[in-house]
Amino acid sequence: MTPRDQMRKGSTEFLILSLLAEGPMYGYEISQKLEQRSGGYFEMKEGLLYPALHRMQQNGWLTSEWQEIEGRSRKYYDLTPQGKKVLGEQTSEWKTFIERLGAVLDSGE
Amino acid sequence: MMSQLTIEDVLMRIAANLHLSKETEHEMLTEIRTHLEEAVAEALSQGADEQTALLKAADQFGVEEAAAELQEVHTGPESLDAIALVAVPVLFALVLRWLAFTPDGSARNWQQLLTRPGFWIIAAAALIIPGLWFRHRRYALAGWIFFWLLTVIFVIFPSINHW
Repeated sequence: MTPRDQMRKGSTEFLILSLLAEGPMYGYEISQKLEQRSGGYFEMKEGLLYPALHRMQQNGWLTSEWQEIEGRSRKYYDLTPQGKKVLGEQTSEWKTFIERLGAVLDSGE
Repeated sequence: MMSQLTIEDVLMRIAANLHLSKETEHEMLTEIRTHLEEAVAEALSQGADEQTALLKAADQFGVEEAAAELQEVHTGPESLDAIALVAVPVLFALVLRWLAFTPDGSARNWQQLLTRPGFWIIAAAALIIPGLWFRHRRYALAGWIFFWLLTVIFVIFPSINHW
């Protein structure tokens, strides 16, 4: 596993929570937005998104609802209050992480 | 001539790696089918032919990896459901059995039993608690039927011995 794979794996749930903070989305939509916004940096097998979504739903962070749109059954995911709380905590944690990492890297230059 | 790959083929490859309840698998495969259909539609709109579009969608999806992780994510909760499906009715049937007998060990008659609030509370709890626990309502109903079967067995057999 490459360092990027490791970072991607460690941040998948946070990225999903961040996207869903904008509103309910279905799996394919999430995968497309992730790719577009990161310029492909967080590229991963799209199917791996679903185990993450299901795990997050089991944790109580997400709810899901089936909707019939354009003849297709789409499962829309949305944040629960607990999911919003986790997003808040993780945002703060990631900001600190990036800040500290930047400080370490800067001091080495 | 090689046969053409279809979305059904891809879904069958995923299903072959899943060993979960039919309901869970059906829901999962419906979700994946939508994903593949949308990915194919997008590739077609960009000029790819149908076969190339599907091959690309299947490759980007990562069929084997996704199936393995989905199986892992759902195995725990499904095992827990199976344990609960057996344990909860047994527990309630035992409580009801305790209510069904008088302190001297003889069974209460059914009219007497029906007047006890505890009887109705246990009967309702045996339906409501699994109903809230299980995602699939028919599991709760199956648990409730199992509960009554056990209750009848627990009450009738000692009564026969007592006679």
